[in-house]
Amino acid sequence: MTSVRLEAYLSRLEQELQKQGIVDTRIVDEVREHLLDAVAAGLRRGLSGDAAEHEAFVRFGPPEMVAAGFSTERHRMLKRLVIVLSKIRELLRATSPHPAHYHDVRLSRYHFALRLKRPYRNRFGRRSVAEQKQIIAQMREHGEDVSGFETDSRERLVRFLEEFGRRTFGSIGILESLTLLEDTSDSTKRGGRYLAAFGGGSKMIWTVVLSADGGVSFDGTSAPA
Amino acid sequence: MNAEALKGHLDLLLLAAVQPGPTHGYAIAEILRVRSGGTFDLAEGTLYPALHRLERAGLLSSRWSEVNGRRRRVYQLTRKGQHALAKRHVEWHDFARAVHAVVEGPA
Repeated sequence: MTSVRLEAYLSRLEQELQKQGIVDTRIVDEVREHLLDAVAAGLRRGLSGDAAEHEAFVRFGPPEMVAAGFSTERHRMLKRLVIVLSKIRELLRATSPHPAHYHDVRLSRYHFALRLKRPYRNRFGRRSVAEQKQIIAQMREHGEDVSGFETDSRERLVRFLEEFGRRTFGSIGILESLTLLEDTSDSTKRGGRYLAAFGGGSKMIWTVVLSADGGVSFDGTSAPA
Repeated sequence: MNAEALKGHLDLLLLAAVQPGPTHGYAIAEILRVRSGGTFDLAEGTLYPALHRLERAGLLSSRWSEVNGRRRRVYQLTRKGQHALAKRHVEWHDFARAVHAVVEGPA
């Protein structure tokens, strides 16, 4: 049993969630079932249909508040992950680019795919190896810190993820270790599968795939216990 | 009860509410309200973001379940959730005992 007002409430909730960048039909389905339960309980207590619906909406809270709750709990983490993807791309593209084409991979719980508008934003990465060495030598002569160029790009990625994990994944705990499970780099892409272990005991498999034309894909799934 | 005061204990309350077995969101809200004698009568829409967060943290698992012809999303404790509940339970007892001792003064 659904009413026009109930569907209107759910429609507003869906819109508010979309404003927060959240598209998840499960949330709306769960809320629908909750409100139907609440209305039924009101009717059992002798309320009229209108009064039972009104009470259910009031007790649940306005759609804006509910959507904001999901946003603060979840979307904040997604925004941070999008930022880290951009950083990962910059780190890994410090080496010479591959003539590759990015192919999307399957969607999963924490999956992100980005295509940056300017594929060659990193001008240093576009230069030949000889030119890069020359620039580094000049920087060294000027007494500048060139340690970032002397570190392997994958090592820089691990360092970055470790540093990022310390600051970000509050609800899961601090990132305690990051282990390369599989190097998935080939002639068309650069990437790897990592086991990320958090202080709270959670473990995730992070799969990062980068292509030379600016495509970045991040896939995070819970690791089996 | 002040919503802010409840906020810090919401995870413990939710974990405790689903401890007996698979429970859907509306039933969880009812458990909190009834067991607390109406003290924990919070906006029910705030429960779901917290339930989803606990699920992402691996403390709860959920699935759709058919109950009396109605589809319900039911939540239950994972093994990790059981450990977390036990740990937080002890922490809460210690905290409550300490607060009580301070507020009530020496016997």
